[in-house]
Amino acid sequence: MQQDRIVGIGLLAGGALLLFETFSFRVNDWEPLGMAFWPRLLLALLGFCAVFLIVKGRLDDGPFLSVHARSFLALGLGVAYVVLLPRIGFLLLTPAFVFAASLLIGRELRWQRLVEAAALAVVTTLALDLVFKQVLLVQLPEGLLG
Amino acid sequence: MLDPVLLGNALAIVLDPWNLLILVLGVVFGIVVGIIPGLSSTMAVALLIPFTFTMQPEAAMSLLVAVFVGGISGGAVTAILIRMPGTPASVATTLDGFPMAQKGLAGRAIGHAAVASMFGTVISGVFLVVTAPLLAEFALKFYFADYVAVCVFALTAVIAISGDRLIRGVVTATIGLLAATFGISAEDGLPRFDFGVPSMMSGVDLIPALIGFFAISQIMHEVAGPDRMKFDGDLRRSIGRVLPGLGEMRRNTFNYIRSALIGTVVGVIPAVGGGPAGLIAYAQAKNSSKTPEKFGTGVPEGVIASEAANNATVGGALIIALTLGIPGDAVTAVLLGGLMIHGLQPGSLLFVNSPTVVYAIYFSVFFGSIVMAVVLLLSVRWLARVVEVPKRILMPALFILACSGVFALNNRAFDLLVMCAFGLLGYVFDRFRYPLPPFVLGLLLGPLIEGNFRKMVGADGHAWALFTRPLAVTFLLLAVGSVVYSLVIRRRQARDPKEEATG
Repeated sequence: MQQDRIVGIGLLAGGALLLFETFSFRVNDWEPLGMAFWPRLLLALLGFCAVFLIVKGRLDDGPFLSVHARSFLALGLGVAYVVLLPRIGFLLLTPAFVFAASLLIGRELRWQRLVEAAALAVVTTLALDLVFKQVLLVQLPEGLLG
Repeated sequence: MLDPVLLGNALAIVLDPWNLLILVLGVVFGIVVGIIPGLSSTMAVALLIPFTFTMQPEAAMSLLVAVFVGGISGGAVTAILIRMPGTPASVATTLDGFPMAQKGLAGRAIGHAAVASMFGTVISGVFLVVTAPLLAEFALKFYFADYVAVCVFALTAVIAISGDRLIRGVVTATIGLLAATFGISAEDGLPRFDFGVPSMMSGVDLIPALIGFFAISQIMHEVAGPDRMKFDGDLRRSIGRVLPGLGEMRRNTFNYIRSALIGTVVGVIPAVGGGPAGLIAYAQAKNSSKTPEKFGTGVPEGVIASEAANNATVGGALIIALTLGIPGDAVTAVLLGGLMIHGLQPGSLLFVNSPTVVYAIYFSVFFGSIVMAVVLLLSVRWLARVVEVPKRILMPALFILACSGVFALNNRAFDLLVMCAFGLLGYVFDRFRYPLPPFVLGLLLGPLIEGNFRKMVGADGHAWALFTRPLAVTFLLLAVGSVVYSLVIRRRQARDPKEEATG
């Protein structure tokens, strides 16, 4: 199945969900159009585009660009970091994340790489913690240390 | 008119030693990001916005403009050294820059690029200072319908030239417009699309979305490629002498001015940007040269034309962005986002309510360009080595920088999830070749279009003003024209290969 059709079907499904949600918007009487008017207009346009993409199928002149599992693995690692950050804290979690991400991206498990990743993990964490706390006066999540 | 007292205040803020240091660091950061192929000036500006949160608005905008100027110029370094433009704006620089490097004149090419970039930015900056207040005064007379029409034109202009297919630009722009409706409606003070989740009440925060869209998606893309860029030889040794000769610069005086004017005019037009500006100026320089056959073989004239023009788009783009509050491309959209987190609304009223911020932006354009040229001329040998930094070092550090910055905005972990979600969306759009700029413009212009449209209908009871006011009609016709023109061009491009095959 071609990607444009997948996008079209995804847009129709997402659009239908959002359209359904617009009926739960509160109705006001101080303005003629109401707050559902604009989202519904956009959803109608999106629906038209979705149908066009599905009917025309593959529109592309050339191949779509490939999607890599490593990209999603990296994002997964990033999401795990983001979810755990408030619980574990910046100072404890960041070195572990940077170390793991550096090894994942570098793809080679040698002593030299392990030392390099460890150094990067410590330097990045301490440098950013210093900049945010001392220069920008912003407290990053303390988590377990708080 | 420029107010001398406020002008002095703005100058004092920009020239404060601490702020001046921030400006220099901003230029260096912009150049470094610009040098690395794949990382854009949009990403550089987006990443630094959270760091400006605690600064005065004048200093904050000074930093962001410095990054913008540095980012566009940095792209020339790799365009010359390894024939890979660090940013799309430097495409035309490769045409003569790389052949100069092959002749052993890489340093001179970079020197010419640095000086031309400075001239281009300064000349466009003069146009910004002269024309922006006039346009802002004119924009004060805009009615709701005029704003709707101008925003629709900006959006269609970006859609028309983005991506391979018009429909894909329409899809991404509409998703951007729709994403802007999430959260509390400014017109009603009531939530929309919050799905009962309290964190969703505040809607899609612009900065996490932009950082996700440009930085996280790019990191996802980069980690899939090789860890380190491969190229022949030692970058530092191949650069050689950097300072360009005075005689050569004098011979190119007209080239500097013409290319800068082309860049300024192109910068004013929404969506066109630095890349096409450089190519147009390059073509003009070649056409008016006594030795056009030498272009493409490694002549400084080609590098000067491209770099003066692509940097001049900075001033041109800022004219429209500051006076009308309408960004012409992704990077100015992000810059306006930086302005908005300080509670400042870009547009004609900015010149009335916060003139020192506007003046600080003017000064930053001038000082930023001078600092950029000095930094490039003095330290390109060291800065160029950033290309050799492996991704296993760069990418985790960039991710943590993005996370820390986004968290610092509101001290909310939810913003980090928004950033990751938009990173995924940006990555999928990019891989499926759905253009990113229309989405960003949709996100930024959505509230403007909706708000002005609803105010117009609320005041008049109808929307006829869109079709009766001369200014609104003009911009709507331009919007239709940009779409029709794009369709005609794409159809012609699609037909040509068939004709060639049959012919």
